Amino acid sequence: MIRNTILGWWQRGAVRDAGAALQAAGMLPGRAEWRRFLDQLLLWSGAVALAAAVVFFVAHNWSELGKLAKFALLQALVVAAVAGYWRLGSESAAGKAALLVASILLGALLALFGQIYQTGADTWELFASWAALIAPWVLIGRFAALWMLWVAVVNLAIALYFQVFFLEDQKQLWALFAFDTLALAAWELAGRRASWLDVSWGPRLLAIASGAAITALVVHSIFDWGRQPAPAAVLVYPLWLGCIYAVYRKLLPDLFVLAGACLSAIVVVAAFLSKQLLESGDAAGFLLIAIAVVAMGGAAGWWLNQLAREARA
Amino acid sequence: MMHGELWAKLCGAGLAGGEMPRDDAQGPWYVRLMLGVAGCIAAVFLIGFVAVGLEFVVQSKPASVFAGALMIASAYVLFLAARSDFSAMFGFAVSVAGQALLAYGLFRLLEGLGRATPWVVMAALEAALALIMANYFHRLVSAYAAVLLLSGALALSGAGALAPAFAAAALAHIWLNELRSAGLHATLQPIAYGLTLGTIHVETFNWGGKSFVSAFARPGSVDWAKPWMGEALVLATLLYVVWRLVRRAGWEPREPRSLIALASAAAIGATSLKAPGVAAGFIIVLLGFAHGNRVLWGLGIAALLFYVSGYYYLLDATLLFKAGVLAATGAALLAARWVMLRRVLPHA
Repeated sequence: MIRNTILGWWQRGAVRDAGAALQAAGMLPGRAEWRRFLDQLLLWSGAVALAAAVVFFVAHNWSELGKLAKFALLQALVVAAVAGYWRLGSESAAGKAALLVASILLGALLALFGQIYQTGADTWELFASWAALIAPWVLIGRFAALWMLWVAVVNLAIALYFQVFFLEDQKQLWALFAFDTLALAAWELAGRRASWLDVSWGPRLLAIASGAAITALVVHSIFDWGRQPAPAAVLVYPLWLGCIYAVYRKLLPDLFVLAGACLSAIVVVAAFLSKQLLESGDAAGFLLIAIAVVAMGGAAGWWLNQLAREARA
Repeated sequence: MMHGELWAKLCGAGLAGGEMPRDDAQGPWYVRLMLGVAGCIAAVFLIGFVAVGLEFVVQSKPASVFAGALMIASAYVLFLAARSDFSAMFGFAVSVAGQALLAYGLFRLLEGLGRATPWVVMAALEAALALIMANYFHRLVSAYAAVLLLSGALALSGAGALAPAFAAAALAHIWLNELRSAGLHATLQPIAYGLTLGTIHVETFNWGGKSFVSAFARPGSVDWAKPWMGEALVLATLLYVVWRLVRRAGWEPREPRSLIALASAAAIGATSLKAPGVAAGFIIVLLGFAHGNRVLWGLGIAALLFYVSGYYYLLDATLLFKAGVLAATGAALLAARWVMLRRVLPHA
């Protein structure tokens, strides 16, 4: 935001030297910032690459290596990662990286167990067990990325559960919507008490997941209208929009989530108009919907930019 | 920091003076993204309108080229006159529909002139639109489209693997010189973002050793340019970026820390030869951080995570080989960290 403001002033000739102005505003990194940044970047990318290497190795199911050796390798790595966490300390970045790696490796260990013993368990059970087993680490980790990994694993378990039992897409979407919305609410509530959870990207990702699920459900209901009784999505959707407005406009202002909600509303209205106007295949219907989308987008853009100006003033 | 405080700080540092300019800055990036996506949805319906209502135009090759060009020209005028998001969005939707119509006519009109020709012409057109269309999102999308179309043209010539190299060199050049001209900044910034997204996208073409265009249009043929050639050129761009940043920091070329920084970048970037995308991801992350651009370095981090997960599906190598490459990459990254903390940027 500050960067764009300075560059905007520079473009209009109000600021003479953009580089010096960015420097004065503390937007350009100095030696200490570069050191911290490269330290974190190389540590995290290195840890992720090594954890991914182990996962790929297990997935390869190398026949030259006996099953005992495979288990020993993975378990030793899990123990080493947990020991690293204990040794490096729960508050250091390296310690948190070690715990994240341990959590990923535990998933690989479960996959190896299923691969070797052919347990007959479904894939969703692997992810559900993974989520359950890493839950204690997630609880003690005090680390936002680890919580997001846990949420992603639970999402996968839910999605796969519904695929295995061939349940309707809508039930799967409802389950994902319910879980991600609850996770969003929990994150926002906890973020006010725990500073390590107070990061904007976490709730934003959850809001995208929750919004995408309910939007898909409403669009589904619009095109299925008449073929199913009383679609609940049509009733829940306005409630969801209202909650998003109340929370992210009033309580915890966040334009990102409001912009996403606006886009969702545009998609839903466009779907509704398509259902009403395009069944006859009339060209005018296409034009009308295009104009309606432009009008809604323009109005949403104007409103959001007003809010952005208010926030900057 | 509020605008008033920021202005006072800049005035205090002698970098600005007088009244604070009126706030007419563009909205945050995600508002622009929302408007752009809504514009794309509107464009889909406009294309539907043209396809259904003006079927006779679509069927004729010259008429579709002419009508498409007319729509693009109308959008150009709309952008020049645009005072609101409404007209800008409508202009964007009209332009995208016009480009689809023009491309549909052009590809049929030029089919006798070699398969790569329409791709080159469309890439040049998109590059021109990126420069002349006075709309942030349009410039970004056109630059992105130009990269994809150029990559298609290269793929049809057996050189698809080189596409990321051209795109990465272009994006590095623009981002490194972002603050050169206030007059050109509004034009170049969205183009640089478009090139960045295009680079992230076309890097994936090097995963399988053959781009999707090449796989469909030249099945069974062998590309003369191999993925490692493209990745070696991307690595050269990474080294150039590190070199420029080192020089900007005032380090001398022969200083040990300059050479170690370059050697570390070379070691990390070299993993791109077998794990395409690592060097490009690091170029984007470094440029973003160096310029205080959080969106850019966020894009770079997302690209690196995407490459690691997508690498699983790379068809040309066994999982065992890929595990080895990833382990080597991880080791190179951690070794570079060790060297950086002790030799390049030790505690002051």
